[in-house]
Amino acid sequence: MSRTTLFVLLGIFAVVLIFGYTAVIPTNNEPRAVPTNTPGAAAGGGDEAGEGGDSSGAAAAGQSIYDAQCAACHTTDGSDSIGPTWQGLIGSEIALADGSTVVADEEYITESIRQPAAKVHDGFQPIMPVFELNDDDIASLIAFMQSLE
Amino acid sequence: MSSIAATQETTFEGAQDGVFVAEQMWPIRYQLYLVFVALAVGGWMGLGQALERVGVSMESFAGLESYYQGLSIHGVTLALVFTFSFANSLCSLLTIRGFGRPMASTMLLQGSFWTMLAGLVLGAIILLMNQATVLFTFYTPMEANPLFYLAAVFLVVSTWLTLANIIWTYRQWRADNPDERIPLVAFTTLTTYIMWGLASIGIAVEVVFFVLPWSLGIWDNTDPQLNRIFFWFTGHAIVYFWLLPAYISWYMCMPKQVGARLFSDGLTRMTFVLFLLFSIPTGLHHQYTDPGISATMKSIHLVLTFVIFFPSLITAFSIMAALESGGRARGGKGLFGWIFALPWGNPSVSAQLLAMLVFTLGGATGLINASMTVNLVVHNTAFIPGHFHLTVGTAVALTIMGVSYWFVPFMSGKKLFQPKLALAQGWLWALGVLTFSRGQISGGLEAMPRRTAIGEAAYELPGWELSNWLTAIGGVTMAVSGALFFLVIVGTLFLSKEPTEITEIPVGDEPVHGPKESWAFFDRIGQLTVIAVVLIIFAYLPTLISYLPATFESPGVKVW
Repeated sequence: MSRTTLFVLLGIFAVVLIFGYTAVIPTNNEPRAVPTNTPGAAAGGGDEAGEGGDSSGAAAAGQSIYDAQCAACHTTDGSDSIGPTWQGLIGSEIALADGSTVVADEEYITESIRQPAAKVHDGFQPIMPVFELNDDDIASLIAFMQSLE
Repeated sequence: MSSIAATQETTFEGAQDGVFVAEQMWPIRYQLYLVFVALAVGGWMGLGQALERVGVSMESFAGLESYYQGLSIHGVTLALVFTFSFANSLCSLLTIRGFGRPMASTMLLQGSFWTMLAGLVLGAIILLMNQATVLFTFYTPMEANPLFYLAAVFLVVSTWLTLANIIWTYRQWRADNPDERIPLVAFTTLTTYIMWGLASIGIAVEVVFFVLPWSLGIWDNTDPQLNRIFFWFTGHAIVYFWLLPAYISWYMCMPKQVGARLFSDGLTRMTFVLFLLFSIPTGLHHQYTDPGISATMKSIHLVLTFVIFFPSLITAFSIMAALESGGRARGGKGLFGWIFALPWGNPSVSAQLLAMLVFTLGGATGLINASMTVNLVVHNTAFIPGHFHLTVGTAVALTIMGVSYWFVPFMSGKKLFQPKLALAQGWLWALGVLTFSRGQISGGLEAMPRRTAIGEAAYELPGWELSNWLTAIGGVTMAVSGALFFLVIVGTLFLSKEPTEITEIPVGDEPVHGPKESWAFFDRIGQLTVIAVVLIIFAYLPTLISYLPATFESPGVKVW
């Protein structure tokens, strides 16, 4: 290997090492498109939804919460993942792990978010963590579920 | 007189006639080939993971069920098979070279190869069947097929057979040489394997007493936290079992390869003794965020982790001293001239020099991980894989590749195929990993989780896009380098016509400060092992006592 080649290669190495690991590259620090905590999600969703009572706005707010906190385990396309799909879930009759059945109404959805182990959907592991969402957030999530037809 | 082809005959006519026996050389040689098989499979998965960052799914890339299946294959083949089989192969050869006698047991040597092969094949089948997508760490309560844990047992037993063989060989040598210092190269292999023998007790307890009976259905439930304590008992020390064979090459072979002598016999022995003593009582620094373990014990492990950084600083001094004297002997002048005078044109040397340079950054990021308060910022983020691809992924892996550039010619009798490709391979790997790890480290600082299919993540934070691209570009560069490596190795084995000039293992002459100046206590292997055990008890008994009673309440889950 010629000395020039070695100089060039070591130079590239040094540049990558020094500047690569010290340079601060500006990133887009605008407010995140997706909320990372529930109160923020509710506030952002509320703004988008206007003064409330707008079901499509509530559904949009619900989708934001879904994207941030639920999508890792629940799909909206009808395929089951770690948890049951949300498509067609609301209002349906579902079998529970203890052999009984229940209608997935608003009361059941609320309970399942706050106490996931209370009534476990048959065929799924009881591994869902507790999500302490407020009433508005849950209402938004239910509106989002209702929009999934 | 070719030394090498003689592996097919009754003796190995190398530098020391009669020492390299054919029936002992083939398991060493084929275990070396398992290194390459593991690298090929694990490397292919690594490429898939890098591409996943920019939208290529693991399912479409390799026909797997999930990203996590590929990640499990990547971790097991590289962290366990690639490293273990290299350690077995190189350390067996250097033990023979060091003691100047064949290994004590041919059966153990061959058994080590067969158990490694069995572990690799069994593990690969179960992983490919998607029955063990539990990652290399196999955290319970994720529950794999019991055959996966059995495969892990085979892999560890393979190293234990080598350990038993090295100790047996040492005892035979000692009986014949009661008053001599342990030859330095054999001292390094012996201490490395004794350290690993102690370290592997944790994983053995976890698998044999807890995980295997549980996965077989003998017990319904397990205690994940207790399992984690046993896992990390082994899980940090294992990194030194990956690293020390690379250190052995740096200490024992690199000085010879650059035309120099090692600085000090005593410093070298002290380094390996410190690794024997302090590698294991450090595991809790992987569990800073775990409940059920007192902050006091975590702090003690923190301090001991910093202690174990010290022998690496000694290594930096010793190796740099040898390299400088080699560079100056080759005509290098001035403050830095010796660096450029080193034999950079030798692919074995160049790959290992680059591995060392990258390792400086690996060590620095390791100190960040070990610092409890800073660890909280990077814990379980992509920063961690960014760190360990600089250490095991380069300091170790690139050194293994560099060593292979003399080891394969030595074992096969064939001249290295296309050395210029081998040179390019080392540089590409080094530049690739710097880019890759920059991506992972910055992603981690932007809160990107590790062990996560980021390409499919439900959300993305600012900065992740750049991180993903750097990871992907770096990963692809490493994959190209890997492809060149295989081209060189396969070419050497099958296309190279000329016999190699490498007929001796490049182990250096006596250090500048030889064994006569070195403290005799370093050779009291039995007493040092007892001290190591006492330190382990000191570091782990209070941890276990304060944790108990165990709570066996977690049923197994399959989340893939």
